[in-house]
Amino acid sequence: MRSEPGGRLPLWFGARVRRAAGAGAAVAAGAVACGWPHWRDAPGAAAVTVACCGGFAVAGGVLAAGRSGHRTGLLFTVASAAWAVTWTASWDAGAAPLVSVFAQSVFFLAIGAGVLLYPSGRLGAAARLWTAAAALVLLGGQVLLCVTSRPEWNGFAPTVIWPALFPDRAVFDGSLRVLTGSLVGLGGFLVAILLGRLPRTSRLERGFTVPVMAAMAVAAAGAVAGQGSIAGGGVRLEDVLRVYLVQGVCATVLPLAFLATTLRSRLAELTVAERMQRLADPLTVVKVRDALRGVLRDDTLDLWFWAPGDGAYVDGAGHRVPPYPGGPGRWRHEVRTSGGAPLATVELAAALRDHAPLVEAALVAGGRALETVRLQATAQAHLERARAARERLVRVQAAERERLAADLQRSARRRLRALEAMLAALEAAAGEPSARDQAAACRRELAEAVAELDDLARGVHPAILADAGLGPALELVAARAPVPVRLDLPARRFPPEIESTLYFALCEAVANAVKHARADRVDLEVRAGPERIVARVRDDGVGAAAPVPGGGLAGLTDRVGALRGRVRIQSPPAAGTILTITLPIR
Amino acid sequence: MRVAVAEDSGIFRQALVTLLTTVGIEVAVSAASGEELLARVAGDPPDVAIVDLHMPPTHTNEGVVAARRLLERHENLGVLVLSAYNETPQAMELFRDQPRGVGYLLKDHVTDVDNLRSALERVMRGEVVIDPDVVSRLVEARHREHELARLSERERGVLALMAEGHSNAGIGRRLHLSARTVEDHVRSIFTKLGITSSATGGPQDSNKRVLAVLTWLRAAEPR
Amino acid sequence: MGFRWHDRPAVPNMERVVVVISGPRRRRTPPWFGPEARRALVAGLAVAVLALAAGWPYWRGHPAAAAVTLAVCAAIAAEGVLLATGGRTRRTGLAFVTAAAAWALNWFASWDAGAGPMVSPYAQAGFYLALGVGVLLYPTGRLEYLADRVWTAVACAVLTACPTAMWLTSEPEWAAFRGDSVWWPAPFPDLGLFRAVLRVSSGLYLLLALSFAVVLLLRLSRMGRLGRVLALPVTIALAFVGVSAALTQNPVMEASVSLDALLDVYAVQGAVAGVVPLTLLASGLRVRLGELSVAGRMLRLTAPVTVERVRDALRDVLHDPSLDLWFWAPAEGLYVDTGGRPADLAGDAAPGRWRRTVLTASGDPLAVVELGGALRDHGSLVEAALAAGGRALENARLQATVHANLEQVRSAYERLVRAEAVERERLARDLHDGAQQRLLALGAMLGTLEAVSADGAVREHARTCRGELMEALAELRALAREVRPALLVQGGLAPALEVVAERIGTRVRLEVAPGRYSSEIESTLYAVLCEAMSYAVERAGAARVTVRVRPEGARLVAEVSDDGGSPGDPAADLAGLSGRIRALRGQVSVDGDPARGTTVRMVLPCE
Repeated sequence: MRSEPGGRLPLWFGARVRRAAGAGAAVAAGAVACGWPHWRDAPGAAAVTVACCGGFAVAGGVLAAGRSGHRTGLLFTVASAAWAVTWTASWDAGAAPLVSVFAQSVFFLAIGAGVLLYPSGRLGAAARLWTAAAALVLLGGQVLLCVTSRPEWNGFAPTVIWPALFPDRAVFDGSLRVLTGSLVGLGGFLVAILLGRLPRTSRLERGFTVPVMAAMAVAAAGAVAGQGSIAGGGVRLEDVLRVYLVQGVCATVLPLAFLATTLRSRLAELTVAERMQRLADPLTVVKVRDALRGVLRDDTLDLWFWAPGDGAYVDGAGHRVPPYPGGPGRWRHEVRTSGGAPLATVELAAALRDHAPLVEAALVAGGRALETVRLQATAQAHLERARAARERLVRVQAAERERLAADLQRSARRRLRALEAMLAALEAAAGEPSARDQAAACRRELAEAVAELDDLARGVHPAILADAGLGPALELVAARAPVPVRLDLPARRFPPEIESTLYFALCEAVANAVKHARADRVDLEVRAGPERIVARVRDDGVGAAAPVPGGGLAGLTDRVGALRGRVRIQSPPAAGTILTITLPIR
Repeated sequence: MRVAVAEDSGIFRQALVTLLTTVGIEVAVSAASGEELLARVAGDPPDVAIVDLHMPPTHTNEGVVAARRLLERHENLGVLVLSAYNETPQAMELFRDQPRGVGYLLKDHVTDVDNLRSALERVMRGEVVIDPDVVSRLVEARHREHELARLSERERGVLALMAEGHSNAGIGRRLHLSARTVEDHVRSIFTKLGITSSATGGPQDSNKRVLAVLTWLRAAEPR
Repeated sequence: MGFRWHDRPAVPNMERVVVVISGPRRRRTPPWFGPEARRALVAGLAVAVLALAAGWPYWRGHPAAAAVTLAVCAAIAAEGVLLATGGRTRRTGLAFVTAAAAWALNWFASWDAGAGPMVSPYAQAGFYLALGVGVLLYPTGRLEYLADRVWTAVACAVLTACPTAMWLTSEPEWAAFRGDSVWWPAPFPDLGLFRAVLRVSSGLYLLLALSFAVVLLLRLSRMGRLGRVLALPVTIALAFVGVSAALTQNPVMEASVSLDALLDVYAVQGAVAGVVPLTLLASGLRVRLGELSVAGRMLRLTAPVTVERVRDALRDVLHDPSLDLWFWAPAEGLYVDTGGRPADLAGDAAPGRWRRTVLTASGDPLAVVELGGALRDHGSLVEAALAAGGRALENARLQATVHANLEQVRSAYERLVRAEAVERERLARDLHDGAQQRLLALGAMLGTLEAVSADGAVREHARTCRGELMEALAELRALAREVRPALLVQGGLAPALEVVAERIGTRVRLEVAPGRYSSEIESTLYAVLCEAMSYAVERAGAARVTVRVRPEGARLVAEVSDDGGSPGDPAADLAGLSGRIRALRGQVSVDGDPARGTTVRMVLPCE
């Protein structure tokens, strides 16, 4: 049992989370410092901004720690820092406003690029185009705006440092309008790129992408709307800051959406084990494969099971696994038992590489199910082998008995028959009465011995059973029985082990009916179908028969069972007994 | 001659008693087990007791046990043990401790009246008698074949007869040899097989010689 | 052949809480959006609307504060409704809903008219009281400890008395309300007294907050491990909220503060209070994560499956080292512990313990688990763990069943072998005692005939008959020997093998340790050794065969080695031999090549 030492940090508070929390705290502190002049008058706005800013950074940090959102997370952290810096505008002095406007540009650029990088961490052609355009519009446009404007047109004090090289109101207003339009265009472009990706993403992926897209749409709309409202000249600093606030809050939706998505994927990993455990009995390889397909939402998933006999992975039809994955978009993964032995190979869509932990969790659970399948199959095989050995034993025993009986009949009796003739001759030849009497006594004794040997041989395996089959042998039994026995027997022959097992079992049943049940009549019928032979012994005796362990019938039941047959006894008190023996014929 | 019979199979006992009576041997006691025989001969011991080797309860060596107890209790009593089988190493227990008046016969040979009578007489005289089939099984047994290979054909015949309990004279009669020649053979056999025996003649010595030969033959027989 | 019927286990007085392992249910809405979630959403929206209406004059100027306050109010209300649906957290949930509503009402102060200003301090007090009591009720739904109850009583008294004292002793202007239509009875306005009331009140508030923190800490130390994990974040959050509320309240506990200043404080307090639903949400999430991860952890902890492992895994996952598990043994019809000893589960569980029955998918009993009573508060976690553990147990049961079947087949095999041995022994005895004795008697009778007859021809004839009879007897004996050698019964393996070795035409070296074994071992070993020896001589043409039999501890080892070169595959030729040895749970190994000869090694267990 694993014990967790008391003083340690909780599991979820690992280094990555600590780093994220640190980043959040740093960014929040930065935001407080940057926007201090404004916060003094607006504590509510301060609380919201600091929380959102910090939250943004934390979310970025958490994402950065993950596999699929590493770059996105880094960019989000950058964005949160940029946003904090944006609030330097509130100082309205020195280089602060200039830094602020560029920080805002960086903020939007980082968010956009971050979203595009999710979840693959790579930029496609369209995404690269967008990034370039956004950099041009946001940074270049901002340069243009600064160069062509005076600070007071932007809502700042005239004394701030401002590169107003060619201040021209008309140009400024024009470029402001163009830039706002471009901004709307950029937002639209971004959403279009994301929408364009949608059909290509797998079903599993879509579950993660859609919330992010929705959040993106909200954030972009908020940003554009806010920017639009201050796109006129002569804005006040207050208005600018209020817009910043609204934009920031809207943008915070994004990291929250990402966080929710991360949480969702973690939940998916965790639920996978539970879902795989719900597989219903009996487990089969196909069931496990279908469950994996369902859990990973990949209908093309293929599974090859390790066949120890072949020393290779084979599918359900026994075909071996191809040496190489079936295409560039495929990914192969080996599953091993808890003991490290090969168990299965799984081939899935390469897109699932981005969800390695989920795949891992599903395969661990599926591996357990597969191990169970293998264990059951092995146990079943052992059982089958044991049953086959038992069946073989009964066949061998039956054959040995038959041979033994034949030997008894043949070898000893041949000589004794000759002796019989010799004694007869001796009796005839003897002149003295005493000698003749003695010879007669000798003959009687010999006859007794022969009868005894006959009995023994019959007990081992009646000759008539081997020679003529079950029907005539049982007719003899019926003729010897002290009560009437009605027979209904097929004329055909069966394999020797079936004939001898049935013969002795039926003899025992008839003897029981006469001896223990005190029956007045016995019905004995044997019905042979193409697949099985059913023998039934019915008597009108006292009933309430129960097999005694170690009794004669118990041993015969073992033999019937070994031949994969069944013995059933119905014996209600005072209502007779029906014994049914069913044996398969092969 | 008076004999007592212990045999568990009633049919065979009856036939045996009839046979003995027919040839003029008095059957004083006819018992179904060794215990019964011991009890019934206690007061009036017969000359020879005929005991079946396999009797209830275990059907293993009851005959030997009964024989040894009879010999302990009655000094001049001879015991003839009968067996239906040749392969009975436990019967050889009879010849431990150099007893006198002990015989071991296969039931097949009992049916031969002359055979039976001669065995009974020899046992009664205190000689040791062993069924020739048992001896030949011992001699033919392969576990001493290395040593036995050193004996000549004739010497092996002499050895077998010695083991059956025959005296030099008896051996000479059967093999049509002079007593001296037999004696030479015996000495040669003893030397070759490394058997030390002080036996030279007389029934007592003849017994010792039989037992020495038996001991040698049985040396490798598993117990 | 045994027929046994078992009644269902009667476990009297056991709480009939039953875990059924079932397949997934089909749901149309997403799993997280059930009726509870919908109700919570409606309640949150309602309270948010109320708060919007109550604080409208203030919100117009402070959109950020509005957003935060409305979100917090809605979150607390929604959280409350969610908690109210769970059995034990029902009261906490109701307290939270009350708190959210109270906070919304609090904002009526911003209208600065009517009864709003007078209701507002009560609403604020109610908010904190409801939050505090709600947390104290979490997660058991009772005020378990004396300290909890005392604190609640004191808080009720203080939080009712202080606002009352305020309006009793002040004019509305002193309390920041300057509207014309403010309904404020002010029966004994006295500024000095009012100031004193304010000072005392703020002192009492701080005291309440600090004592609340102490009460929470006291509770924490008495909780179970799982409870502490859940309660700790909530406790810290609420202590923080309480203390910060008392501290932020302090500056406005002055006469003649402005209404805006008061409302600003309210806004900050509301924002801070937002921590409470957040931590509760985090705790809830943690619980759910715990439930979900239980399946995976059980999976890892129970490989390979044994009952003991399942128990240890459950102990680990549920943090309950006292957990006990009894497994249903269908063959015996009772519950057994991990050591296989039957357990008496009649009667009640010990006080403070909790018993649960786990059933299979088909409704058959599978196990009984007894856990610490504290785990009742984590019913769904326990259920998840038991479902996963049940699956593992079912797996173990399945394997045990196959194993039992195997055991049954093997013992049937053994019985068949033994029955055959008994039968052969009987046949051999019958031959010996019956036919052979009769024929021997016949021999004696022929001897008698010989003796009584004087006729030489008759005597000769009788002798011939006797000879013929002896031949017949010899044949009969050979047959009987084949059925079961008399020597084997009498002397055991060693002498019986000696005779066989004599008959075989090759030099056989026997190294057989003396000793007797059970009759089926002796007869089986005799038969297979005969087979191996004759195989060596006849098929492999060996000139030298060595047979060794010796006991080794609780096993009997038999070896037949020869110098022959077998033309075929000895292992295949000796397959029948292997089957007989394996029937007695022995092992056979055949080793050899034409150059070195063959060695057959057999190991049999014997007691």
